[in-house]
Amino acid sequence: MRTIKIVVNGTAHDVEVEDRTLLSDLIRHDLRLTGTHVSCEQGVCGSCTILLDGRPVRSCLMLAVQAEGHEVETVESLSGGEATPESLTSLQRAMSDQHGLQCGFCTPGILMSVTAAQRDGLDAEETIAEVLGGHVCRCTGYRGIRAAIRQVLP
Amino acid sequence: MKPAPFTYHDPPTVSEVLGLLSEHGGEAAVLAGGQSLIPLMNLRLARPGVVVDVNRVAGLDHVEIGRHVVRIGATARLADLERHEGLAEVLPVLPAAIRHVAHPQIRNRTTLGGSISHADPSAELPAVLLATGGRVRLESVRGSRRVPADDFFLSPFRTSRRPDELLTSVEFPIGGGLRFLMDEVARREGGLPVVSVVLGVRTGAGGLVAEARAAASGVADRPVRLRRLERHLTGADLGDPVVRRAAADMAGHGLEPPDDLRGGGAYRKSLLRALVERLLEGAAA
Amino acid sequence: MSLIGAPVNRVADHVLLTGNARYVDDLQLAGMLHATVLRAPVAHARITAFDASAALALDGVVAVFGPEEIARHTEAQLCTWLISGQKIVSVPIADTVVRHVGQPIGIVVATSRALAEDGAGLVLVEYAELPAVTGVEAAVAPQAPLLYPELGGNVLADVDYGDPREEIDRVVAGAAHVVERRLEVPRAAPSAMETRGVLAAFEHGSGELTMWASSQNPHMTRWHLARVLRLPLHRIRVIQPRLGGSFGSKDHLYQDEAIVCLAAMLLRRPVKWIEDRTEHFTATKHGRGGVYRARLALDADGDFLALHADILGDVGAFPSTVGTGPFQVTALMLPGPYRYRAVGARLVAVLTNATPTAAYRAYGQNEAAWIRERLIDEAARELGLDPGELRLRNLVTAEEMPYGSSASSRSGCLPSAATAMSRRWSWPPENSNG
Repeated sequence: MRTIKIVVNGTAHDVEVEDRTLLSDLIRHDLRLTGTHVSCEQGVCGSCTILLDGRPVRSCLMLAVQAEGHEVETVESLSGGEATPESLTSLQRAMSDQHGLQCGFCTPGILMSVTAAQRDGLDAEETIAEVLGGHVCRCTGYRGIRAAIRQVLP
Repeated sequence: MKPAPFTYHDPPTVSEVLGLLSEHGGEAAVLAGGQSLIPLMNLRLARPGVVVDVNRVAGLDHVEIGRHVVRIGATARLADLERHEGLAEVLPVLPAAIRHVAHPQIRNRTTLGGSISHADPSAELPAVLLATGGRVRLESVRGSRRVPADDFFLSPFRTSRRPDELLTSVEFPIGGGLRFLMDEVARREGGLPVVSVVLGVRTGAGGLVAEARAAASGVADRPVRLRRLERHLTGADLGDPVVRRAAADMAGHGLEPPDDLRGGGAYRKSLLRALVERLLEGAAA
Repeated sequence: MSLIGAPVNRVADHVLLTGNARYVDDLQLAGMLHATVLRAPVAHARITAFDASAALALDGVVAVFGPEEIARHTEAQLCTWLISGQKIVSVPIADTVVRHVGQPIGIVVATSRALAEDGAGLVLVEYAELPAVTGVEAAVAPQAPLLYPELGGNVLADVDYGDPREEIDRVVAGAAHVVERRLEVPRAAPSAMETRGVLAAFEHGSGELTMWASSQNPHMTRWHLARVLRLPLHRIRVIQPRLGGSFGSKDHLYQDEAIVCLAAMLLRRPVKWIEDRTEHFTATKHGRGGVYRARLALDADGDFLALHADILGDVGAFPSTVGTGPFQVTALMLPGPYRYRAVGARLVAVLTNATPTAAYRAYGQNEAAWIRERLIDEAARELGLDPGELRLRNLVTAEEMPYGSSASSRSGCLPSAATAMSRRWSWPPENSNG
């Protein structure tokens, strides 16, 4: 066990973790930010994608100890902790408008990747071709997700 | 699916890393980007007793562009190399190949050194290293050595790196007049390729090929040079589609690609053929 | 304002989009333990030894239950959708005979998931391997290894549907054209984004069991649990939190889920188990899986005379709660919207050393449609007819309604609907400019 310092969604935490604790488990089970989901634990599906120092990465493929001194953003940060239809970001709103989600399990990871793409100034087609490729959704068939990305990105 | 227990070290210097590798040898795993190691650990297919994280080693992610060689530190992340302007100028095939490696979310962590030393027989970057005639620098407490790509990849996921050695940098020769192209077939965007091919051509007098270098992944138990193709292409007129087709037809001679879940051997050979022809067309343009 | 034709936002999207939705793995209870399920790595074997002592000696491992202990504490689970003559009507929760890779044979409970997995690695299980058979055709071949030697074969049930077989054979024999094909539909792993998972808590004293489950059928799950765990129905509550997809695969109480509840009862501590992705591929029931020898008989003008399919349905290692249901649906839906003089199917449900099959995405219907429409396309090709015309010619018309086929619509607008659709989607291709 060791204590690490990590900033998650703007809040600094000192948390005790085992060497083998995955960052995804630290976020979900220790910090209780359960919006980040785990579906494959081998980096394939993208459900656990978070932003590490602003870049989308798989939280299941990092040890929690590796996040020491880094800044993490999760889906909970997007709408400032609010959870009303009015508090949604333009991207979250677009996902709802375009039926870009059904069960919602893959959605947080997609939101984080596309949010980073949005900040980096990527256009819709680049985001769909490159960024969306890193996410698996089993409900929507991706059509709604692509439409949502086109609704918010140039 | 959680990793088996291990002891974690994240030393700040190469010499400390080497000390740990010397002490723990085969029991230790070097953790760089973690995009291959951690899945294996989560699945408990890899159970290292000691994990040596090199992410905090300062200066191991440098990109030095010299007159004849590009030297890239082991922990340089693929996402950074993909966007590196100088690199795009002198060795455009590297960022081009990197864009085929997994997804941006993975490339934000994956390191060049990790990709090379993981030695996946289907992966792109080992083939780039082979085709360009690059080499790796291995360091240990015993000293350091440079190993040419041709001698580095031994069999699936095995290299000539010794357990106490750290791959510290990767070198690609540049300025030899070869123009490299790469292409691949993968089952899905960002998936591991079934076959990928890297081809470099230097055109000489009369527009004929003066020198060719080629390598492929996914066609053997390791990434391989396509030496027969290289010899066949020397002196060839790539403007002639018949010549290109004949070269593509012989590219797979002597290879017996494995059958696995991504494709059968015969299919892999046909992909190799198609990719070589496509690249030769690109080289002729 | 009418909602018809207007875009409508779903009412709970904001909960899902902000990370506030609670799926089963998002729940924690005080004193909660974590489990991992022990699974057979072989397709067919007898368990000859089960030794958990090394696992139990590990700090943090609370309990290990093997197949015999689980069997002692549980009743066999009933198969609820039966077919006439079905030879297996209940399935034990744990067995010392292994019949598919991934079959649950025990559980390790520890203070963390990682420790439970450490413990699982220390449980010694010895298997006396038996010859295994996968694939329905191999399983019905002579001398095939038998999953249940006492049944004398691997056929779970053999049932005819529709018109009498002799009549179908007679019509086929007299037809101008017969198109016959062997068609195969492979198995599918459902792979919802959220794997299965259970959090179970047993209240000592009241004897009440609460199960939070990634389930699409909590009421049926509760009913099965009551019998399996020998609890009165009214002492069981099954709660379905948010569900991360299912596609039919979470329609059942699974053996491993019952074992997690049993562990919570025996230990008097809440126990959580979350299936991992690699487990999912062998532990969660598969969809589909069948070989179909099907024939379509036509007269010289292209009128359908008969349609029949011999269905070899891959049940897997034991019948799931819905058992042969998906294959029965294929048999019943086979006729589709066309007219025939005789139509039917024979279902031979086959046991194989593979994961049991069950509900998956409109089960049975896709297979029926594919078999039928594939034969129609093949007939059109063989006879040089336009596939669209061939279909229109044989669709049941309004005048023929009500039509006695299992799958036909009551409205009788099929031909006009088909014509409208072919215009809308530019089909057949030669009309694509029209």
